Amino acid sequence: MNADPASVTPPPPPPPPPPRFAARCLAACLPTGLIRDSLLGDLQQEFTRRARTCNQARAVAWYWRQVWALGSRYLWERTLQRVSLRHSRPQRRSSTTATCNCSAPGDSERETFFCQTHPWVHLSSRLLCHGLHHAVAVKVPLQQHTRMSSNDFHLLSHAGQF
Amino acid sequence: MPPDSILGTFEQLVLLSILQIGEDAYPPLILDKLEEGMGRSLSRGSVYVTLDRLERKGLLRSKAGDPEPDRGGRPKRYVAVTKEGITALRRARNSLMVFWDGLDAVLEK
Repeated sequence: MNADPASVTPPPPPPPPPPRFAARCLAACLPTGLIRDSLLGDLQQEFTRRARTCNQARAVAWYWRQVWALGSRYLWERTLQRVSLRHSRPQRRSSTTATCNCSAPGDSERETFFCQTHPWVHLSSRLLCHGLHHAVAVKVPLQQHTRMSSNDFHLLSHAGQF
Repeated sequence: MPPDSILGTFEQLVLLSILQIGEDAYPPLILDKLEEGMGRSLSRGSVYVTLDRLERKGLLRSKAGDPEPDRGGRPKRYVAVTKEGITALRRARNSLMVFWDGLDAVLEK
């Protein structure tokens, strides 16, 4: 028995994919592996829900806002961790002024975590780290083998140290 | 994680939300739970970055779920609190209780 073609409802259209360029930009800022895949998946799921329930242009704008917020957040977090890692290494001089050894290769698990990013993001992170590193070296007398966390940087910035 | 360090407030809230949700805890659900509990909206970035930090500290572990078509074939990241996470939460609660103790009369005015 053939169904009346007029009565058959067409299947719903496939959900629109999120903006490809935005997704690539965000992927470049995130560490590889499960964190990147799951975060992009979470955003795509929410994008699809928003595109279906409200205007697609709004969903695209929402997606771009998330890319900006998450990308900059991850880049900043990575930079702080890189500076922290830099200061956790033994310094070559015994003075209170930290010596920049930004060219030294990383050997820890955390350094590997930083390096699993897009080369441009990796470079920006290194440049930001370099600037912060020198800012700290000039303004704050550091003890040797001091490990600075992101909380330490927040405290220092609140205290007006840099 | 050093044994004498205390979790931050937001870190505690994230860990407690994961425990409240249970086995299905993944970042968007955690975000919803936090927003519901705190009564205000939060940025996704703060939740994701905190989850990553807690995992690096060994207080969380995450595992990949099955790939799903509506997520572009990407898996969910299910998170669970480790034993170290429970210990850190207990330590944070005990530290706070020391300071809360004896202040009922002052705080209930």
